[in-house]
Amino acid sequence: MKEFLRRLWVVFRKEMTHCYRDPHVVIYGVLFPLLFYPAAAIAMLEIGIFQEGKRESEVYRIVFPESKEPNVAAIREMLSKSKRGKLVTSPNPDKDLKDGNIEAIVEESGGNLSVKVAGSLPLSEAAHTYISKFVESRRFKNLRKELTDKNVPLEIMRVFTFELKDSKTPKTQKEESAGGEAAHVIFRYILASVICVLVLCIPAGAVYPAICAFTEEREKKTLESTLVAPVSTECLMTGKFLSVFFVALMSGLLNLIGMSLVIWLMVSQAKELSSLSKLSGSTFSVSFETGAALVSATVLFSLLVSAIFSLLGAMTKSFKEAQNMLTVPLLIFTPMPIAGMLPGVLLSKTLAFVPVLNLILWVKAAVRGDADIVLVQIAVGETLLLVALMLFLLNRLIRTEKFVLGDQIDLWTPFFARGKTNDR
Amino acid sequence: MTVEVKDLKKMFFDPKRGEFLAVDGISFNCSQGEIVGLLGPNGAGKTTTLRMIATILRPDSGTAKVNGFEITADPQSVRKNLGFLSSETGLYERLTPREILNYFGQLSDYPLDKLEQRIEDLIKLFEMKEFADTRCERLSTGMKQKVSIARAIVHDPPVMALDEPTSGLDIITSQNTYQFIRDSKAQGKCIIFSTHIMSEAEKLCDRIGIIHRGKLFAMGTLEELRQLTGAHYLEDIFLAIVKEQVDV
Repeated sequence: MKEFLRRLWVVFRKEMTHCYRDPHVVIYGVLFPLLFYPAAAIAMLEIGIFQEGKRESEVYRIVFPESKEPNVAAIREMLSKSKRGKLVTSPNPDKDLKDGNIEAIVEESGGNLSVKVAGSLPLSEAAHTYISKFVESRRFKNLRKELTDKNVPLEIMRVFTFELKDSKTPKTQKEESAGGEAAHVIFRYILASVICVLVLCIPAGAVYPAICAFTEEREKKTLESTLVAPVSTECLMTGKFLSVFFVALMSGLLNLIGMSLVIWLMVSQAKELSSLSKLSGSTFSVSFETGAALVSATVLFSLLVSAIFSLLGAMTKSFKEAQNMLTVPLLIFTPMPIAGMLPGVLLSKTLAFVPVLNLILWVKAAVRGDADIVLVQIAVGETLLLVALMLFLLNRLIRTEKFVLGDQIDLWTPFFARGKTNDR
Repeated sequence: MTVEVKDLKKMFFDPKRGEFLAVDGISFNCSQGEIVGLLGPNGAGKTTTLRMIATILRPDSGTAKVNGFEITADPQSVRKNLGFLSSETGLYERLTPREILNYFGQLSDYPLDKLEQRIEDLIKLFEMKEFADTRCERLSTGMKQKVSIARAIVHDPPVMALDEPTSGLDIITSQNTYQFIRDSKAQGKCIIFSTHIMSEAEKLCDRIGIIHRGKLFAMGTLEELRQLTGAHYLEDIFLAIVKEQVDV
């Protein structure tokens, strides 16, 4: 056993060295997860700031006839003093709106306001939103004044909001405050979607290590020299598989770190900019159950992907062929996160048997706090069973003469290949 | 005898040709300090024979012993006692020669405390100092061949199986390979050497086996083969033996 582990370590170390010197592995397994999320977050922030800045300089020309109705007059007054609203007069407002000389017309009819815009003009829709905000703001101000005048407590305004009560996870008083529940729901959604991103990213990190460990041995004709070394097939295969798994897992964890950093940054920013700062820390905390499910699902998915890619990598004998072959599972994995994030798709007795999707739904259930232990056991057991099956087939494949001789290998070779090699 | 091969047979399956015998009852032996050449055209069965001796392929029947270890009963011990160099042997492109030697040395059970010195000795022997720490992808064919040979013998095996070791090499690199084989012979190694180049076999081998269509038709020293066929040059000897056997 000790000798087996020593050789295993030698094979693993060599594979890791060889693998991490491949620029593909470094790009897709290390640089991409580390740089993509912060870069994407920065880019989104910059775009937001740019758009906001652009909007700041926008001026909307609005035709808004004077009115005797006090509320309408007040809105007109506010708009005329606002930064972006510029009230103009026009003998023929409809023609001017059509020609793009103005962005909006506000009309009053029986105390009701209507805003007319031209959808074909770029600023017209923005002007509509801008005016709506003013009207909404005035409405609330009026309501507040009316309630104050009638000595009604302002808390009555809260009847216009509602919240979901979850009997399994009672919330703290602070969390029940306005906005807290919404922020918590959004945060839970983001947490559940992390596994979905990982399902897409981990395979990208595992493709090249699998090619490096298995396909290249055949393509670069190094297989024979490896096979005449006094090392068993199990040792060789395990060492190579572990290197693929390790890189895939590292890639997954780096993705996780990258995403966590961005989520943390965004939550911090949101807290600073809004009333969320008043929320308790538990709104954005991750429970042990969720964390454990997320890490375990990441490890299990990395194991599954590594086993599938190792088998497929061993079946191919050129880089290009391997890329084509490994694209197939990538395409199969892609719809899983989409299906997993659909509302109402939960870990059930049927879906617990769907590979990959069951891991996503497990994390989703853990985030919701209603993971069924039996269904989780089915999902974990099935994934491990699939990993064992893939490794069994890989072991059979490596022992075939077709593999050793560099012959074309089809999907049936691991099952029915003729000719076994000598104690491999 | 360091290598004893008895009645080795190997059948392959090809979708176009069906089942065919690649090696058909080959028997020979090779002693310490001896070079035995297997001479034959492409597809004669040389490589398959060497692959069976090197435990890469399992024979359908027959047996072979390497330094006393039977190839099917104890393949791991055979591998520890054998250095195998294939004409197709590639190198791990992103590893350096030193890393490759270290990897195979560690896998081959060479004493770890002596491995570093052994690698240094091989680097000196094959004049690899200048490129010992350069990745193999940047090496020339000649340099790669030196690394391949050093890789095959890093564990200092008593038996060497060399499958067309000069295939695709220039004349200078080929000469270096010949010199290495001669030196190994002088050190008492048992060398089985396959080639389809007549002059190579003539220059290097103590005994030559004529192999064609999976069968070993004759085995002996050059002089013995000359007496057998009446021909002087190895090319003529080869053609005479093959023609006679095929006609029969």
